[in-house]
Amino acid sequence: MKSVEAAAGYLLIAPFMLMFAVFKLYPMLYGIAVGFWDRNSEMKLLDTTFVGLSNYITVLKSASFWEAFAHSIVFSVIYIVFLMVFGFLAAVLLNRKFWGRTAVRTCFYIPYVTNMIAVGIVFKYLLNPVRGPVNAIFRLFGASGPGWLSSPVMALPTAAVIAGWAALAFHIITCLAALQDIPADMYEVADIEGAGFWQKLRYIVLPYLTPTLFMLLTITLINSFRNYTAIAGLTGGGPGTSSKVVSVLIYDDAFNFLAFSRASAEGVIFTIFIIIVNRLFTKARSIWESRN
Amino acid sequence: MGIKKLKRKDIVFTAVMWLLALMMLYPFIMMVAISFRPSGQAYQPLFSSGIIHTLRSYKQVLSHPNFFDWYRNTVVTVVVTIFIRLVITILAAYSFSRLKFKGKGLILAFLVATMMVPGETTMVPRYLYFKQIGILNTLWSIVLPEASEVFYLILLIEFFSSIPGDFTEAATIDGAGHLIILFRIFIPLSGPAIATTVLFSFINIWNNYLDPYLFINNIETQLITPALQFFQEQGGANMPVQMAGSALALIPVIVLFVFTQKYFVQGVASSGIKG
Repeated sequence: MKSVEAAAGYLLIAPFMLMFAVFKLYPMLYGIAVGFWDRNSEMKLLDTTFVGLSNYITVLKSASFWEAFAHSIVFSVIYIVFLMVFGFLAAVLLNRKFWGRTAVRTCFYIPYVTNMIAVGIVFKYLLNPVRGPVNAIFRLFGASGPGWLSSPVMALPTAAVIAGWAALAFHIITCLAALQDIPADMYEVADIEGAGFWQKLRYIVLPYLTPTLFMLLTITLINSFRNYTAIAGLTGGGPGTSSKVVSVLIYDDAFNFLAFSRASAEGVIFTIFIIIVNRLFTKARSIWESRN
Repeated sequence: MGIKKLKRKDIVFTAVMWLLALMMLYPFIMMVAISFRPSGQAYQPLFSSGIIHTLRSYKQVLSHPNFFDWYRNTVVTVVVTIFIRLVITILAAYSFSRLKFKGKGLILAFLVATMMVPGETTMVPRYLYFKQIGILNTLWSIVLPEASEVFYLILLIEFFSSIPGDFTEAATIDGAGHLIILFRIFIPLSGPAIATTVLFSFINIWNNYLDPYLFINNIETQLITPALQFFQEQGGANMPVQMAGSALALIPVIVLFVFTQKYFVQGVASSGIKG
């Protein structure tokens, strides 16, 4: 009886596992192999000459990789901080009762279902340093306004914030669901004690939401590296290389310079980095949780 | 006095929230507003006088020889992917949540771990491999890799696990096979979870940029989101045409979302439960 159940078990997961193995897992492993080959010019597209670690070493020694690496970190940090802070605050505000709350929530969610290519077109218009409406506001106050997406200093942070704006709904919805679970009498007690808004936030809401916020942080950390579309739609990696993150570097090296093996090695190295960061974060989280 | 004061505070709060909502939508409002303008007036303020409204940009977008190809390709890709995804994911989720077999925990843990690897870092091997097996420049290069997404597997496993065991026990005593239990009991009870899967899939595949941009190189096979680049090239600095193209690309997802928000919120909330 047991073996019949097991057989059915394997049989039912087989289609999913097969598709996964062929179209998801194999390419991941294939990438490691490509990194060991010499496909670094148009002539060698199908070459399988084993060149050892040379691609990996070239990548680790190249300044452009570390520059892109640093840009990816900056993007991720800004993206994560923006989402964690404003997602939480927006949820707290949207949890209060007011006229038209459902409609207002919908407005907050809509950016989430759109894409950065379509939205990027509008943001490039809005943030046009000379003719755009955002800098027109700056001029009202006699200031000239920053170059936003066309300034080497501002392009990366601006792109990260816009990407954060688009992803906000996930954080709001998740926090709102957690806020529903706070027992109403906690607030009543706080009201009787005469606690203000900030005190309630600090002593009731934050402790209750800590597990949720940790979970969100884990997800956001991973998502922050899925940044190709945002950068492609907003800056294209520019001006110059000032917002060129690792994903854009990989694309460029592979499809503009045809250095497929080097680009593969970049992908593998960055994936290892992401996995290490995740492990460290999970570790830190479990230490923090065991202390509290 | 106290009540009045409270009310004024509420009115201010409501006004602030509506203002914030308007700010969230500001880019979309501008997108629509500019799309109806002649290109010469693209950069004039939102409420300036003398603005001419025209459908010229929409006519130009709709008359692009490939516009309907892109739309049709996108719809076909979305529908076919969702169908295959649902079939294989429901079968697997049933097995993972209800059946005992060796290595189950290990397989699941491994699948979840692969979610850490972003498609960004594997774009090169995927491209080379798909080229080798001959699916580049076809919609299969989007459909087949999208079919097995671990995220939806987890979503459905969580939902199936919440269905009480008595249901299946009664059916097993009757001698019903797993497929019958699945179709007679699990699928009818899983309406919300399946709706969430369909909705999320629709939105994600519709907005997918990187994969079609990488894998599809001929203009008539392209999908709508990456195809927006053609208006940037063709129109040059023609802002209204770009805005009209963007608006037409976003309308289906926004409309769908507004009417099915309940499932969307449920899906996000339930995907966040585990952590």
